[in-house]
Amino acid sequence: MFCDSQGRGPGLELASEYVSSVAGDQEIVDSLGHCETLYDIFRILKRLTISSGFKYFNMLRLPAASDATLNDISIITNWPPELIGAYDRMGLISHSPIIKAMQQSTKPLVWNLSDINSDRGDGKENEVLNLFGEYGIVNGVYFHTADANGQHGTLGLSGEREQPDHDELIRLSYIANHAFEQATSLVTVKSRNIDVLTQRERECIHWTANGKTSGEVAKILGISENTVNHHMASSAQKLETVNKAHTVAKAIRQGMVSGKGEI
Amino acid sequence: MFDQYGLWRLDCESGLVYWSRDVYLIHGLEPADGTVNLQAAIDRYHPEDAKIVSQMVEECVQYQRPFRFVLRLKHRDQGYKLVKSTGCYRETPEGKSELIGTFSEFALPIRSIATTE
Repeated sequence: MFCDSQGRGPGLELASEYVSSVAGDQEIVDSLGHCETLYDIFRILKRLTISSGFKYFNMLRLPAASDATLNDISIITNWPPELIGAYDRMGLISHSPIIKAMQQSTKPLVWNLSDINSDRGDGKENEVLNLFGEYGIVNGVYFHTADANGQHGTLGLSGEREQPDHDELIRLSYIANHAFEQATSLVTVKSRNIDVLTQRERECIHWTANGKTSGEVAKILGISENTVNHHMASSAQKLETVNKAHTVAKAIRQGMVSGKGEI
Repeated sequence: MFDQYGLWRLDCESGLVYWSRDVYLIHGLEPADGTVNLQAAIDRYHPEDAKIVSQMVEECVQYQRPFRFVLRLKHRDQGYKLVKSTGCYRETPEGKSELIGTFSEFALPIRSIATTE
Protein backbone atom coordinates (compact mmCIF):
# COMPACT_ATOMS: atom_id res chain seq x y z
CA MET A 1 0.00 0.00 0.00
CA PHE A 2 1.35 3.40 -0.87
CA CYS A 3 -0.23 6.75 -0.49
CA ASP A 4 0.82 10.32 -0.14
CA SER A 5 -0.94 13.53 0.48
CA GLN A 6 -0.18 17.07 1.40
CA GLY A 7 -3.31 17.18 3.52
CA ARG A 8 -3.54 17.65 7.23
CA GLY A 9 -5.87 15.74 9.45
CA PRO A 10 -7.77 16.50 12.62
CA GLY A 11 -6.31 15.23 15.87
CA LEU A 12 -2.78 15.01 14.53
CA GLU A 13 -1.61 18.41 15.65
CA LEU A 14 0.27 16.74 18.50
CA ALA A 15 2.68 15.25 15.98
CA SER A 16 3.01 18.41 13.94
CA GLU A 17 6.37 19.28 15.49
CA TYR A 18 8.68 16.36 16.07
CA VAL A 19 10.99 17.10 19.01
CA SER A 20 14.06 14.99 19.48
CA SER A 21 13.48 14.36 23.18
CA VAL A 22 11.70 12.05 25.56
CA ALA A 23 8.80 14.50 25.76
CA GLY A 24 8.69 14.61 21.94
CA ASP A 25 8.70 10.81 21.75
CA GLN A 26 5.82 10.64 24.18
CA GLU A 27 3.89 13.10 22.04
CA ILE A 28 4.42 10.83 19.06
CA VAL A 29 3.29 7.80 21.03
CA ASP A 30 0.23 9.70 22.30
CA SER A 31 -0.58 10.73 18.73
CA LEU A 32 -0.28 7.13 17.59
CA GLY A 33 -2.78 6.19 20.28
CA HIS A 34 -5.29 8.63 18.76
CA CYS A 35 -4.92 7.24 15.24
CA GLU A 36 -8.13 5.86 13.80
CA THR A 37 -6.81 4.72 10.43
CA LEU A 38 -3.64 3.38 8.88
CA TYR A 39 -3.41 6.65 7.01
CA ASP A 40 -3.16 8.57 10.30
CA ILE A 41 -0.28 6.29 11.31
CA PHE A 42 1.28 6.68 7.87
CA ARG A 43 1.52 10.45 8.32
CA ILE A 44 3.12 10.20 11.74
CA LEU A 45 5.66 7.64 10.58
CA LYS A 46 6.47 9.71 7.53
CA ARG A 47 7.23 12.74 9.70
CA LEU A 48 9.31 10.59 12.05
CA THR A 49 11.23 9.15 9.11
CA ILE A 50 12.07 12.51 7.61
CA SER A 51 12.91 14.22 10.91
CA SER A 52 15.18 11.31 11.82
CA GLY A 53 17.15 11.83 8.63
CA PHE A 54 15.87 8.75 6.83
CA LYS A 55 13.99 8.62 3.54
CA TYR A 56 11.68 5.66 3.79
CA PHE A 57 9.86 3.55 6.32
CA ASN A 58 8.12 0.24 5.95
CA MET A 59 6.05 -1.64 8.46
CA LEU A 60 5.74 -5.33 7.74
CA ARG A 61 4.34 -8.35 9.43
CA LEU A 62 6.69 -11.29 9.46
CA PRO A 63 5.72 -13.63 6.62
CA ALA A 64 3.72 -16.79 6.94
CA ALA A 65 4.49 -19.73 4.67
CA SER A 66 1.80 -18.59 2.23
CA ASP A 67 3.20 -15.07 1.83
CA ALA A 68 5.13 -14.85 -1.41
CA THR A 69 5.66 -11.14 -1.90
CA LEU A 70 6.59 -7.99 -0.05
CA ASN A 71 3.19 -6.63 -1.02
CA ASP A 72 1.58 -9.53 0.88
CA ILE A 73 3.22 -8.63 4.18
CA SER A 74 3.38 -4.87 3.92
CA ILE A 75 1.17 -3.03 6.42
CA ILE A 76 2.09 0.55 5.61
CA THR A 77 5.05 2.05 3.82
CA ASN A 78 6.20 5.04 1.88
CA TRP A 79 8.43 2.97 -0.36
CA PRO A 80 7.65 3.99 -3.91
CA PRO A 81 5.28 1.46 -5.50
CA GLU A 82 7.75 1.05 -8.35
CA LEU A 83 10.36 -0.16 -5.84
CA ILE A 84 7.93 -2.63 -4.27
CA GLY A 85 6.85 -3.84 -7.69
CA ALA A 86 10.44 -4.37 -8.82
CA TYR A 87 11.32 -6.06 -5.53
CA ASP A 88 8.49 -8.54 -5.95
CA ARG A 89 9.12 -9.06 -9.64
CA MET A 90 12.68 -10.08 -8.75
CA GLY A 91 11.34 -12.43 -6.06
CA LEU A 92 13.65 -10.99 -3.43
CA ILE A 93 11.63 -11.74 -0.32
CA SER A 94 12.41 -15.45 -0.28
CA HIS A 95 16.08 -14.80 0.52
CA SER A 96 15.72 -11.49 2.33
CA PRO A 97 18.45 -11.21 4.94
CA ILE A 98 16.31 -8.64 6.79
CA ILE A 99 13.35 -10.99 7.14
CA LYS A 100 15.66 -13.78 8.21
CA ALA A 101 17.26 -11.57 10.86
CA MET A 102 13.87 -10.45 12.19
CA GLN A 103 12.72 -14.05 12.41
CA GLN A 104 15.79 -15.06 14.37
CA SER A 105 16.21 -12.19 16.81
CA THR A 106 14.24 -9.40 18.50
CA LYS A 107 17.23 -7.06 18.64
CA PRO A 108 17.31 -3.97 16.40
CA LEU A 109 19.13 -4.65 13.16
CA VAL A 110 21.39 -1.85 11.96
CA TRP A 111 22.43 -2.65 8.44
CA ASN A 112 24.19 -1.37 5.40
CA LEU A 113 23.28 -2.68 2.00
CA SER A 114 26.61 -4.02 0.82
CA ASP A 115 27.33 -5.97 4.02
CA ILE A 116 23.93 -7.47 4.63
CA ASN A 117 23.45 -8.30 0.99
CA SER A 118 26.79 -10.02 0.50
CA ASP A 119 25.53 -13.55 1.03
CA ARG A 120 21.87 -13.68 0.05
CA GLY A 121 21.88 -17.24 -1.15
CA ASP A 122 19.94 -16.53 -4.33
CA GLY A 123 22.74 -14.98 -6.39
CA LYS A 124 20.89 -11.66 -6.73
CA GLU A 125 23.38 -9.50 -4.86
CA ASN A 126 24.08 -7.19 -7.79
CA GLU A 127 20.40 -6.76 -8.67
CA VAL A 128 19.66 -5.77 -5.10
CA LEU A 129 22.52 -3.27 -4.97
CA ASN A 130 21.38 -1.70 -8.22
CA LEU A 131 17.72 -1.61 -7.27
CA PHE A 132 18.09 -0.02 -3.85
CA GLY A 133 20.89 2.24 -5.04
CA GLU A 134 18.48 3.70 -7.57
CA TYR A 135 16.28 4.89 -4.68
CA GLY A 136 19.06 6.12 -2.44
CA ILE A 137 18.73 3.29 0.06
CA VAL A 138 22.15 2.29 1.33
CA ASN A 139 21.57 1.69 5.04
CA GLY A 140 19.01 1.69 7.80
CA VAL A 141 17.62 -0.02 10.83
CA TYR A 142 14.85 -2.54 11.42
CA PHE A 143 13.07 -2.94 14.75
CA HIS A 144 11.39 -6.18 15.69
CA THR A 145 7.84 -5.49 16.82
CA ALA A 146 4.96 -7.46 18.25
CA ASP A 147 1.42 -6.83 19.34
CA ALA A 148 -0.67 -8.19 22.21
CA ASN A 149 -2.07 -10.95 19.99
CA GLY A 150 1.35 -12.37 19.24
CA GLN A 151 1.59 -10.99 15.74
CA HIS A 152 5.25 -10.30 14.97
CA GLY A 153 6.46 -7.72 12.57
CA THR A 154 9.03 -5.09 11.93
CA LEU A 155 9.35 -1.38 11.31
CA GLY A 156 12.26 -0.33 9.12
CA LEU A 157 13.74 3.08 8.47
CA SER A 158 16.13 3.43 5.56
CA GLY A 159 18.04 5.92 3.51
CA GLU A 160 21.63 7.11 3.59
CA ARG A 161 22.42 8.65 6.96
CA GLU A 162 24.88 7.80 9.67
CA GLN A 163 24.26 4.83 11.89
CA PRO A 164 21.90 5.59 14.83
CA ASP A 165 23.51 5.58 18.26
CA HIS A 166 22.36 3.52 21.23
CA ASP A 167 20.00 6.20 22.63
CA GLU A 168 18.35 6.76 19.27
CA LEU A 169 17.86 3.03 18.78
CA ILE A 170 16.07 2.83 22.12
CA ARG A 171 13.82 5.81 21.31
CA LEU A 172 12.93 4.59 17.83
CA SER A 173 12.32 1.05 19.08
CA TYR A 174 9.85 2.42 21.67
CA ILE A 175 7.97 4.31 18.97
CA ALA A 176 8.14 1.39 16.51
CA ASN A 177 6.42 -0.98 18.89
CA HIS A 178 3.66 1.50 19.67
CA ALA A 179 3.13 2.15 15.97
CA PHE A 180 2.97 -1.56 15.15
CA GLU A 181 0.53 -2.36 17.91
CA GLN A 182 -1.72 0.54 16.95
CA ALA A 183 -1.63 -0.44 13.29
CA THR A 184 -2.58 -4.05 13.95
CA SER A 185 -5.28 -3.22 16.42
CA LEU A 186 -7.16 -0.64 14.40
CA VAL A 187 -10.85 -1.23 14.20
CA THR A 188 -13.54 0.91 12.70
CA VAL A 189 -14.46 3.59 15.17
CA LYS A 190 -18.16 4.11 15.04
CA SER A 191 -18.76 7.79 15.17
CA ARG A 192 -20.79 9.26 17.93
CA ASN A 193 -21.99 11.74 15.32
CA ILE A 194 -24.48 9.22 13.99
CA ASP A 195 -26.50 9.66 17.16
CA VAL A 196 -27.02 13.36 16.54
CA LEU A 197 -28.34 12.86 13.01
CA THR A 198 -32.03 12.32 12.52
CA GLN A 199 -33.37 9.32 10.68
CA ARG A 200 -34.16 11.44 7.62
CA GLU A 201 -30.71 13.02 7.64
CA ARG A 202 -29.09 9.57 7.72
CA GLU A 203 -31.32 8.42 4.88
CA CYS A 204 -30.46 11.44 2.72
CA ILE A 205 -26.74 10.88 3.27
CA HIS A 206 -27.12 7.17 2.56
CA TRP A 207 -28.85 7.67 -0.80
CA THR A 208 -26.49 10.47 -1.86
CA ALA A 209 -23.54 8.19 -1.07
CA ASN A 210 -25.24 5.59 -3.22
CA GLY A 211 -25.12 7.93 -6.20
CA LYS A 212 -28.63 9.39 -6.16
CA THR A 213 -29.26 13.01 -7.10
CA SER A 214 -31.32 15.08 -4.67
CA GLY A 215 -34.29 14.72 -7.03
CA GLU A 216 -33.97 10.94 -6.93
CA VAL A 217 -33.53 10.95 -3.15
CA ALA A 218 -36.69 13.06 -2.87
CA LYS A 219 -38.67 10.51 -4.88
CA ILE A 220 -37.27 7.57 -2.90
CA LEU A 221 -38.13 9.15 0.44
CA GLY A 222 -41.39 10.76 -0.67
CA ILE A 223 -40.30 14.29 0.26
CA SER A 224 -39.49 17.42 -1.73
CA GLU A 225 -36.08 18.12 -3.19
CA ASN A 226 -35.88 21.27 -1.06
CA THR A 227 -36.37 19.14 2.03
CA VAL A 228 -33.60 16.78 0.93
CA ASN A 229 -31.25 19.73 0.53
CA HIS A 230 -32.32 21.03 3.92
CA HIS A 231 -31.52 17.68 5.55
CA MET A 232 -28.12 17.58 3.85
CA ALA A 233 -27.35 21.14 4.99
CA SER A 234 -28.40 20.29 8.52
CA SER A 235 -26.22 17.16 8.45
CA ALA A 236 -23.26 19.20 7.27
CA GLN A 237 -23.69 21.55 10.20
CA LYS A 238 -23.83 18.69 12.69
CA LEU A 239 -20.90 16.83 11.15
CA GLU A 240 -18.92 20.05 10.70
CA THR A 241 -18.49 19.43 6.99
CA VAL A 242 -18.30 22.08 4.30
CA ASN A 243 -20.40 20.63 1.47
CA LYS A 244 -22.30 17.52 0.39
CA ALA A 245 -19.19 15.77 -0.90
CA HIS A 246 -17.47 16.29 2.44
CA THR A 247 -20.56 15.09 4.29
CA VAL A 248 -20.76 11.94 2.18
CA ALA A 249 -17.03 11.19 2.41
CA LYS A 250 -17.01 11.68 6.19
CA ALA A 251 -20.10 9.53 6.60
CA ILE A 252 -18.52 6.72 4.58
CA ARG A 253 -15.27 6.92 6.52
CA GLN A 254 -17.08 6.81 9.84
CA GLY A 255 -19.22 3.87 8.80
CA MET A 256 -22.49 5.79 8.92
CA VAL A 257 -23.56 4.70 5.46
CA SER A 258 -24.98 1.26 5.02
CA GLY A 259 -25.82 -0.78 1.98
CA LYS A 260 -23.66 -2.69 -0.46
CA GLY A 261 -25.43 -1.83 -3.68
CA GLU A 262 -24.08 -2.09 -7.21
CA ILE A 263 -21.82 0.66 -8.48
CA MET B 1 -4.68 -1.98 -27.31
CA PHE B 2 -3.76 0.92 -25.07
CA ASP B 3 -3.63 0.51 -21.31
CA GLN B 4 -6.78 1.64 -19.59
CA TYR B 5 -6.51 5.08 -18.07
CA GLY B 6 -9.59 6.67 -16.57
CA LEU B 7 -10.74 9.96 -15.13
CA TRP B 8 -13.11 10.58 -12.26
CA ARG B 9 -14.88 13.60 -10.87
CA LEU B 10 -16.58 14.35 -7.55
CA ASP B 11 -18.97 17.28 -7.59
CA CYS B 12 -18.56 18.90 -4.18
CA GLU B 13 -21.94 20.63 -4.27
CA SER B 14 -24.01 17.57 -5.09
CA GLY B 15 -21.70 14.97 -3.52
CA LEU B 16 -22.00 12.86 -6.67
CA VAL B 17 -19.25 10.98 -8.47
CA TYR B 18 -18.77 10.40 -12.21
CA TRP B 19 -16.41 7.99 -13.95
CA SER B 20 -15.04 7.80 -17.46
CA ARG B 21 -15.33 4.59 -19.41
CA ASP B 22 -11.95 3.18 -18.44
CA VAL B 23 -12.61 3.51 -14.72
CA TYR B 24 -15.58 1.17 -15.12
CA LEU B 25 -13.48 -1.25 -17.18
CA ILE B 26 -10.68 -1.30 -14.62
CA HIS B 27 -13.32 -2.19 -12.02
CA GLY B 28 -14.43 -5.03 -14.26
CA LEU B 29 -17.77 -3.37 -14.98
CA GLU B 30 -19.69 -2.39 -18.09
CA PRO B 31 -19.42 1.37 -18.65
CA ALA B 32 -22.57 3.23 -17.70
CA ASP B 33 -23.91 6.73 -17.83
CA GLY B 34 -24.82 8.78 -14.83
CA THR B 35 -23.60 8.84 -11.27
CA VAL B 36 -21.56 6.27 -9.42
CA ASN B 37 -22.44 4.60 -6.12
CA LEU B 38 -19.49 5.94 -4.11
CA GLN B 39 -20.14 3.68 -1.11
CA ALA B 40 -20.17 0.58 -3.31
CA ALA B 41 -17.05 1.76 -5.13
CA ILE B 42 -15.11 2.22 -1.89
CA ASP B 43 -16.35 -1.16 -0.65
CA ARG B 44 -14.55 -2.79 -3.58
CA TYR B 45 -11.19 -1.99 -2.01
CA HIS B 46 -9.44 -4.25 0.47
CA PRO B 47 -11.04 -3.50 3.87
CA GLU B 48 -7.79 -1.98 5.16
CA ASP B 49 -7.48 0.19 2.08
CA ALA B 50 -11.13 1.28 1.89
CA LYS B 51 -10.73 3.37 5.02
CA ILE B 52 -7.70 5.06 3.51
CA VAL B 53 -9.53 5.85 0.27
CA SER B 54 -12.45 7.49 2.07
CA GLN B 55 -10.14 9.45 4.35
CA MET B 56 -8.01 10.74 1.48
CA VAL B 57 -11.08 11.86 -0.45
CA GLU B 58 -12.53 13.51 2.63
CA GLU B 59 -9.33 15.40 3.37
CA CYS B 60 -8.93 16.46 -0.27
CA VAL B 61 -12.40 18.05 -0.07
CA GLN B 62 -11.81 19.57 3.36
CA TYR B 63 -8.27 20.89 2.94
CA GLN B 64 -8.16 21.13 -0.87
CA ARG B 65 -4.86 19.26 -1.03
CA PRO B 66 -4.02 16.68 -3.70
CA PHE B 67 -3.47 13.00 -3.07
CA ARG B 68 -2.27 9.87 -4.78
CA PHE B 69 -2.36 6.23 -3.86
CA VAL B 70 -1.66 2.71 -5.02
CA LEU B 71 -4.07 0.39 -3.21
CA ARG B 72 -5.76 -2.99 -3.53
CA LEU B 73 -9.00 -3.30 -5.51
CA LYS B 74 -11.08 -6.49 -5.67
CA HIS B 75 -10.48 -8.27 -8.92
CA ARG B 76 -13.44 -10.48 -9.74
CA ASP B 77 -12.67 -13.86 -8.19
CA GLN B 78 -8.93 -13.49 -8.28
CA GLY B 79 -8.25 -11.63 -5.08
CA TYR B 80 -6.96 -8.10 -5.45
CA LYS B 81 -5.09 -6.05 -8.00
CA LEU B 82 -3.23 -2.79 -7.49
CA VAL B 83 -4.78 0.38 -8.81
CA LYS B 84 -3.34 3.85 -8.86
CA SER B 85 -5.34 7.01 -8.38
CA THR B 86 -4.60 10.68 -8.09
CA GLY B 87 -6.95 13.43 -7.03
CA CYS B 88 -6.94 17.16 -6.66
CA TYR B 89 -9.35 19.94 -5.80
CA ARG B 90 -10.25 22.61 -8.28
CA GLU B 91 -12.80 25.32 -9.01
CA THR B 92 -14.43 25.25 -12.42
CA PRO B 93 -14.67 28.39 -14.59
CA GLU B 94 -18.27 28.61 -13.32
CA GLY B 95 -17.01 28.78 -9.75
CA LYS B 96 -18.11 25.29 -8.72
CA SER B 97 -15.95 23.12 -6.46
CA GLU B 98 -14.98 19.64 -7.53
CA LEU B 99 -12.34 16.97 -7.17
CA ILE B 100 -10.90 15.50 -10.33
CA GLY B 101 -8.46 12.68 -10.71
CA THR B 102 -7.02 9.81 -12.66
CA PHE B 103 -7.40 6.09 -12.25
CA SER B 104 -5.39 3.22 -13.72
CA GLU B 105 -4.05 -0.19 -12.96
CA PHE B 106 -0.67 0.01 -11.34
CA ALA B 107 2.09 -1.35 -13.49
CA LEU B 108 5.84 -1.02 -13.43
CA PRO B 109 6.95 1.73 -15.80
CA ILE B 110 8.45 0.32 -18.96
CA ARG B 111 9.83 2.49 -21.71
CA SER B 112 7.67 1.95 -24.77
CA ILE B 113 5.70 3.72 -27.45
CA ALA B 114 2.42 2.97 -29.14
CA THR B 115 0.39 4.40 -31.96
CA THR B 116 -3.03 3.85 -33.43
CA GLU B 117 -1.69 3.00 -36.90
